[in-house]
Amino acid sequence: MTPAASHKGHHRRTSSLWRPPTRPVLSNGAHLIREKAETSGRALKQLIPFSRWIFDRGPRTIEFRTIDPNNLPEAPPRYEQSNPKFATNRICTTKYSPLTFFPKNLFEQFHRLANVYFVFIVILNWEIGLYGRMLAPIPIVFVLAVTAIKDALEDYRRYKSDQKINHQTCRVWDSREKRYRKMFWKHILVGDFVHLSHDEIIPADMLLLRSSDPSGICYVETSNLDGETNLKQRVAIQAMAKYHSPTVPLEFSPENFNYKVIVEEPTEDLHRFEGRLEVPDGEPPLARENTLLSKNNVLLRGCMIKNTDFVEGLVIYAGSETKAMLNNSGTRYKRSSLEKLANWDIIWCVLILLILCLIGAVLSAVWVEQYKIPDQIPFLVQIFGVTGSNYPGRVDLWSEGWHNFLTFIIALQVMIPISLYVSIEIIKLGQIWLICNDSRLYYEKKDKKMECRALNIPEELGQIQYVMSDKTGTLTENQMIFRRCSVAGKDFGGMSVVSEESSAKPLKEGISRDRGLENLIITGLKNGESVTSTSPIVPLFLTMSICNTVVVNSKPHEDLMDEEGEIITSPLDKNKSQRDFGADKPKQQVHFAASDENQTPGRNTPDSLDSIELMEINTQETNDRNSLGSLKDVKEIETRFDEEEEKEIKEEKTEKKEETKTRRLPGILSKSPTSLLNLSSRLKNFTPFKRNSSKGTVSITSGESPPVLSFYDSESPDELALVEAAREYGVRLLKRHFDEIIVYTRTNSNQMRFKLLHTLAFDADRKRMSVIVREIRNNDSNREGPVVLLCKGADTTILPLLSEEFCTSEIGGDRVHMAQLHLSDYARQGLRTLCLVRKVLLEEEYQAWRAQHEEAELAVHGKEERIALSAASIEKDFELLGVTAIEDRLQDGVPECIQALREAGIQVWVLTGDKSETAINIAYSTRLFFDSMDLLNIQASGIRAVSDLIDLYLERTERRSTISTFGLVLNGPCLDCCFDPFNLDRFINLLKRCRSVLCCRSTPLQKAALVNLAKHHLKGKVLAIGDGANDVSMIQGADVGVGLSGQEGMQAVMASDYAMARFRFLAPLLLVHGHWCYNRLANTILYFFYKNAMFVFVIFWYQIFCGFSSQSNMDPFYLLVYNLLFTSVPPLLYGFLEQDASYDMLLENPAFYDAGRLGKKYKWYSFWLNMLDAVWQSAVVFWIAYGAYEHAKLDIWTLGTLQCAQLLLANSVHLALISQYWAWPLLLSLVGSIIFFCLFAAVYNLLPVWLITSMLNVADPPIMIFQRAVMMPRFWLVLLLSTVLCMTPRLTWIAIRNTYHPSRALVRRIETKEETQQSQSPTYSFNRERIEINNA
Amino acid sequence: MTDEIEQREEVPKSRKRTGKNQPVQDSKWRQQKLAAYRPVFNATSVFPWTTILGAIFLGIGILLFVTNLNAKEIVIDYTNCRNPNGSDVNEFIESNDGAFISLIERTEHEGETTLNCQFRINLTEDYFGNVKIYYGLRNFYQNTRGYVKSRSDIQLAAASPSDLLNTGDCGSDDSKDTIERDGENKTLVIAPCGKIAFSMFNDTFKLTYKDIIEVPLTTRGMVHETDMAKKFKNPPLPAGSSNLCDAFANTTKPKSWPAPICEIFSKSEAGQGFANKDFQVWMEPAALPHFRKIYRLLDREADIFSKGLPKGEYTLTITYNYPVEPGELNINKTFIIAIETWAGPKNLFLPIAYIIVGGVHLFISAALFGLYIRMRYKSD
Repeated sequence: MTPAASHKGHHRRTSSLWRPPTRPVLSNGAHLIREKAETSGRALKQLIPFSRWIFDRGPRTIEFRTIDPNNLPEAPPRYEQSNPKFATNRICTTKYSPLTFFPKNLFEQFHRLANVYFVFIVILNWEIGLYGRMLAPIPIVFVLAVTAIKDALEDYRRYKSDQKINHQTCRVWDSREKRYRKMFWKHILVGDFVHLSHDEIIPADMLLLRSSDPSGICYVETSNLDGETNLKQRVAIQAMAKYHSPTVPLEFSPENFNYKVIVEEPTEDLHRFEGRLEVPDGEPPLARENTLLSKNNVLLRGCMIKNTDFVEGLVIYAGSETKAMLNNSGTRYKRSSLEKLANWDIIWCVLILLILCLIGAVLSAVWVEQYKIPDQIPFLVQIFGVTGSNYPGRVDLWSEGWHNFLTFIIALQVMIPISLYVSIEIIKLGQIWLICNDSRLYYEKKDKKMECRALNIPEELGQIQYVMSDKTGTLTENQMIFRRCSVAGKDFGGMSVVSEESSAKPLKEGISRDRGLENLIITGLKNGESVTSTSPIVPLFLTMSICNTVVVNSKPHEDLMDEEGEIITSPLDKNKSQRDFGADKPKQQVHFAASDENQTPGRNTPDSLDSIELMEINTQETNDRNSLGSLKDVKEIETRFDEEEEKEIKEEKTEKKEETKTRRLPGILSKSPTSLLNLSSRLKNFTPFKRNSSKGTVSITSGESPPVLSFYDSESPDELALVEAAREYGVRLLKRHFDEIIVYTRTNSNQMRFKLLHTLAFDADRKRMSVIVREIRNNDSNREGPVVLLCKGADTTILPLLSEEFCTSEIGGDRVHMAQLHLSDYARQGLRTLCLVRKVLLEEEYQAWRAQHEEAELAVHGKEERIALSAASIEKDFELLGVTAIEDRLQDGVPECIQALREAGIQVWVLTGDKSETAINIAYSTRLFFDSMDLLNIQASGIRAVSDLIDLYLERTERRSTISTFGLVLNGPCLDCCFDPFNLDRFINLLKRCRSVLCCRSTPLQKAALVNLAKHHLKGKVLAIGDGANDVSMIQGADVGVGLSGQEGMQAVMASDYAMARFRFLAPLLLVHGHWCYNRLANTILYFFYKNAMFVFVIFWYQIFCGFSSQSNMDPFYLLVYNLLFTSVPPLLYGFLEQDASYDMLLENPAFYDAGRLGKKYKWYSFWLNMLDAVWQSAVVFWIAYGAYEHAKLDIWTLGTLQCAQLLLANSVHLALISQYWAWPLLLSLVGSIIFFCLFAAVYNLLPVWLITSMLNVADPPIMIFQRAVMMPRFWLVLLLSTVLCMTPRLTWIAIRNTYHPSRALVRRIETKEETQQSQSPTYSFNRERIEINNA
Repeated sequence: MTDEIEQREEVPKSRKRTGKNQPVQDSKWRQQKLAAYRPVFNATSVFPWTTILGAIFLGIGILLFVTNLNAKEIVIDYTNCRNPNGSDVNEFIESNDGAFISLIERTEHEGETTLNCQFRINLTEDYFGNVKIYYGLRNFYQNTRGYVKSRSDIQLAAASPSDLLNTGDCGSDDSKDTIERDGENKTLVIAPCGKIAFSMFNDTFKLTYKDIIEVPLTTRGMVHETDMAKKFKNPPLPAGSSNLCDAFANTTKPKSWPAPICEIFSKSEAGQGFANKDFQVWMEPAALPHFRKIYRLLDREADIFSKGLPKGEYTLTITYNYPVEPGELNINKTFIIAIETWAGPKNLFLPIAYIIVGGVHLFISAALFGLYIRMRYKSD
């Protein structure tokens, strides 16, 4: 850009990725030792907080560190520089390294109580030796291994993402080659000089040394850090001011930076930074104020450079010491309510286990007691004989009982389902995988899948009772289009939205503006009107382009240095710059990897863009040629109209001159609304910020030539829409400086300059923003115009502030009246309205206010309130300029989705910041409200008034609760009154009676408060869905947070548990996946309880016949692997595959959702019913075998094999019975597990004796037991009988229940089946019924 | 049961794209559209099944019942053969049902008292077929945890002399014994060690037909010999020796045994040492406290008994070695002659259970059918 810049680029290299050499391994050992000492010093420092915590609770003193910049001309190798003692920029978010994985992972796993319990069992067994000491740890080792594998995979994923981040590149100063070179982020050291371009992400915390901006300013977007989307300003350090002087800037090179930087030790506080520069000896000293560094000088890692061509900075904290990383706390762990319920039942399991153990212990003692001379009883193997007492050989019953209690704990350990946790986790992973892969949740336009960020709460989706939705961007597209405006009592651009949509025209059609309005502007501008003119039209458009925080750039930000660190020598080469810009794009996609949209930047669609621009140019040319005035202009334009229209226009022309009558003209977008929509969507998808460009290639003869390109960045899409609309009408915001705004008017090719005196920023309480400007006429700073305050805001806050004088004047009163009419009209159409007002300030009035305001700005305490007060003191007595209406289109399928959710019994609350009329309108169009609904609108001021309203409505709902449903409309300000403890209870009562709730004008905090209210007072499961930063607190507060990856950046997605592309996906997500997940998990958990309990009860029945000696009737080996190998896969597959109703049926019948919403599948008694079933089945399994083999020859392991087979068969059939979806994998796994058991038993019984004895420690090795057992017909007879008898009660119960009270899904299924049957053969089914009845 | 097959039309395949973000694949697994049955369990669909099950079970039950008629067994409780008072000799006692009369005689031979009981068994019908002779114990808990464990399987399958000295889980008290041998006290490993072995059942039975013909009994087919050979092996003989006791040289006998393992079965036809079948049978713990273990099979090679045991009078002579305290312990000893069928020994439990369960299912069918009719009329 500056000619001097080119000298930096010495050479061109093809590939210059700079990989700094690592220290040679066999180098001087002293370095290593020194480095070790330093790093261990760092480790020690990390321990300091602990020591301080232990020894000293005094206030912390700030410690400082000194950073030497890495710019010495005789640079040592990088690894020998003095700064590596600080953390490098390599980040590592992985929990483990290959070396530490096992100890660390084990340590973490033992935080789970169940694992500790099972290790306790293993240790107990080691002492007592109930099972083989080698055998007992199998289950716990298996569970630990599976969890460890899962953790390892997750950690590997983190490692991959770390790698990706670490291998991003940026340009770092190489002091040897004296140029910037591309380098991986991970190689950046503290003290490095880094060069960043526009839209690049800051790799480490840096001190801003230099910016491309002459005033040393640079903008950063910090949304990655704190979620705020607005641009923040950062200033280069004072000491570098000489390089920023707007007059004669010195050329800066890192070599010139000869200070040491002293900064405080890293802290996680984002808003805190202390540091200073230190001048080494022999250098010219600095003024003290120039050495101070503040947080305004610091660029934090993770932020993005905006609106600045390039910056250069010095790394002060890197890697793990950056504020971003220090603030990066791990993911939240949410626990679902189903899991909580299950945990209660696990406690019941523990109780049952203890009771069984106690019974066993007592009865074992009683059993032993009956043998008076135990010494002589061969089978009484006493462990605690009392010696030396009067009764030699008597058993110490207490010790015996206690010992047996412990052995019973081991023998019955499976009562606590060890495999439950790991199975549930696997099932949840599988469910999430299925959700992510659902093609119906895939948004093809943006190539976006469903994204599940929380892994452990899929079943919560099935239990949602309240859905809290944001409106803008969630229900709507969040693509703002300026539709209409009301100015001077007239409505422009008016055509109903419906008719516009129906008359959609091809894209190529030139976009038309409201000609009438345009001509008015042209006239006004020609007449030299400006902000202070009496006609409101030109001031309105000026306000549209001035009163905002839009950041304008005359050109795309282009850095003279390319990615390789080379300096581009011909920056004005257009192709080159275009290529550069294009080259910037892929990088950007990396930065916004999470948004990974298939973006098409504006410049890639020249056709549509040019169509506007050429249009503009044409008009411009016409204007230039026909400098006579507007009349000819209009004629030119007229030629494009149809004959009939032409006539109208001619009429209108005369009308316009008189400016008395009002008339509607074709809307600016009426010709082709879709084309503009498409265009703007393409333009806006570019970044989280809106970006638009206008490009004119026509040279303009008069005045200063306006820049070729314009780029607008704004945090608010509304503002952008206004600025763009103003540009369309020929009032183009050209430049926006710190203190100066330049507007270019196309009509007279003039530049209007305004001195920006103050910006009173938007806040949610005031609901308006203002700028105070002074017009500078004719570029002559001596001729200053009056000071004008321009303000835009919501009508409710603005209209009361209109000046008395204006409202009472004839014209003014009329205008206000008309504006109000139009406002309600716009609101009815669901348009977002803004009132634009103006106030011309008298000089002395302004000066007085300025003094007061500056005082407020300097205030130490309560600064914000004072500024707000001061702003309020000037924002009054306005004069109405006009009203604008912006359309925000509804997303596809939103009404249907809300309808479905409502049918599912979910209460949908829409929480929006819009005004109530707009919001209510949207509510109707989204079917949140419908015509038969009784709307209760709480709109009053003051707690008492609100209280009265609540009382009134409560009465009303009581009276008519049976007749109609109610919708509640809340208002932000009233909401605070409702939350008052005085009103809260009745308010909650009222909320309970309303089907839908709409809350308008709510702040993010109020949204979060409502979520909390629903969670804690209405005791409901809340899902919050939103797309913007203002929804983050709501999303985080809810049980399930859903982020929409839409227009407003990634904050909502980052905070969410689930991220998806469209609102309408909510219906399948909840109604289908949520329903399934809940159903599956609830049943799986219950099944696990049943399965384990049954197993334990079978063992317990046997105790009656073995003297309660805790001998198990099954081979210990089966005992340990039964849950892990024989019966693990089918429940898992059940958890993945079960469908009580098909996808389509669930979508068509949202009412089925209440199974989960009301928690029908898992009630407190579900556990006990399953226990009861377990008792029955275990009794059947044991007693049938007992009866069949009583008094017969039967060795213990034959019985064990039989019992195990019985259990397995009963469990398998049971699972098939509760499943309503016999998918082939499930059936296969059921059959497979039985076959597997047989093979396992057969192979196991072939093992040599020494192996079984020494490894498994099974007494009397079961050689060929299984093979002999299956040869006996009795084995099969018992198996058949017990299996059938086990299932009889449940099958009968299910059959009776399905006949008397069939589930709705079943009814639907049978109905559809009958329908198809009837359609196939209508007479057949009729006949069959007849025959059946006759038979009866 | 009325099932329906998921009928779904094929969704058109979404086009594949390359790039970082793989679009969702349209597989049946991913889209959860696997082919599946959707079973419906209601009265309509279940009652045919319960009817069929009931019928089948009734059939099986009746079949078993008929089969069970062919199974025969006679159980002789000889616990009381030992008089509780222990003083009387040569006393006749009558069994409870009067089916037989027993004679107790106490003989003294070389200072050792042998108690013999004689029972007169009147077989009222022919016991044709494979006659099995069992001994039974009631209320003998061979399945308590400590008892089951108290053995050393390595020792029993002694593959080497060192294995013989392995005492496994026998417990310290039951694995070694100090005896006087060659004039000095030595602590030697007991073979076989453990409670099970110590308490081995050692009554012997002799059956004579018509007081003259001794019924031939055999050990063939008593146990699965190849299986047992894996579990029970005598230790290898030292080189040049043919005396089994040399192999057991470093061990001593269980205290309760009259002789070491190598000698105690010397008169038995069931094998020597660990290979003795009676020993092996005993060493297999019974699952339930009332159990029977095989004693011998009828040797049908002799002409008279080629078909089995013909009806008539038999005399059972029991050598009463195994001490039980009948009053206190409630342990009963029985002698059983049994003819088994394919469905097992005489036991009415399974036939009756099958008949009951079959009946229950038929009842359920009837109830469900009634319900079905009611619902049908109701809906009409």
